[in-house]
Amino acid sequence: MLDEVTEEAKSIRIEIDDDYLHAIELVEALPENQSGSDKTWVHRLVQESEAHFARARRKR
Amino acid sequence: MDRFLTLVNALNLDDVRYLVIGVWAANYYARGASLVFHTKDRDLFLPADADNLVRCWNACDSSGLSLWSGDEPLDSPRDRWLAERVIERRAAVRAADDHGMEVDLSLVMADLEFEAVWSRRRTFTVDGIEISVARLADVVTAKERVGRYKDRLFLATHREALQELLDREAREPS
Repeated sequence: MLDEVTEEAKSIRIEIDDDYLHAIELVEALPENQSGSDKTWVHRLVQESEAHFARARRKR
Repeated sequence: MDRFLTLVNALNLDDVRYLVIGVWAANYYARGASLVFHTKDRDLFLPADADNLVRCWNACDSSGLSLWSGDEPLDSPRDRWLAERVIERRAAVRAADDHGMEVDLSLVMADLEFEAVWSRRRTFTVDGIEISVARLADVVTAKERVGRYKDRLFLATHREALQELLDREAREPS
């Protein structure tokens, strides 16, 4: 089953079509994505996630 | 300060030109937690400029990161001569610490030119420190052109997450 999934994954082709480009344009145009914006939350989120998983212990 | 930020601060202080690219760059454009990809990999795109590269290596060193070329430590002395050889071969150098952080110092970003990507960059701040980040469109374009399995997986996930977010916002305008 794993082999099938691996083979299937190899065939994934993602085209950057007009819809995807449009979505990227919209995201880039957001006020919070202009130069000078504060992105501290991104670092905090990843730090908290890493700390959470670092504390995880196997129970069984 | 987190370790990546320590490095960025050192790069800024040493006047290094760099761009955050790859998945970590895409994270800065995330609208919310659902669009943030959790990865320890960081990728920096550097110009083919030997002096800039030496300053970058020095900044890595002062940030407590060791430099690697493949499985071997990068040769010393890390001077202009070595930087020119690395640039000739467009060799990938990796900066790493003992806590699992790895930063790829790349001289290529698919077939995109550094100066073009640099001219389109965004400058964000984290804890008051400026970070030069490639445009999301450039990040996605590079991933499509390189087309490794992990790039295609990123594109598939990113596209879907982006579309879901925009669809939701269209249904529920704030």
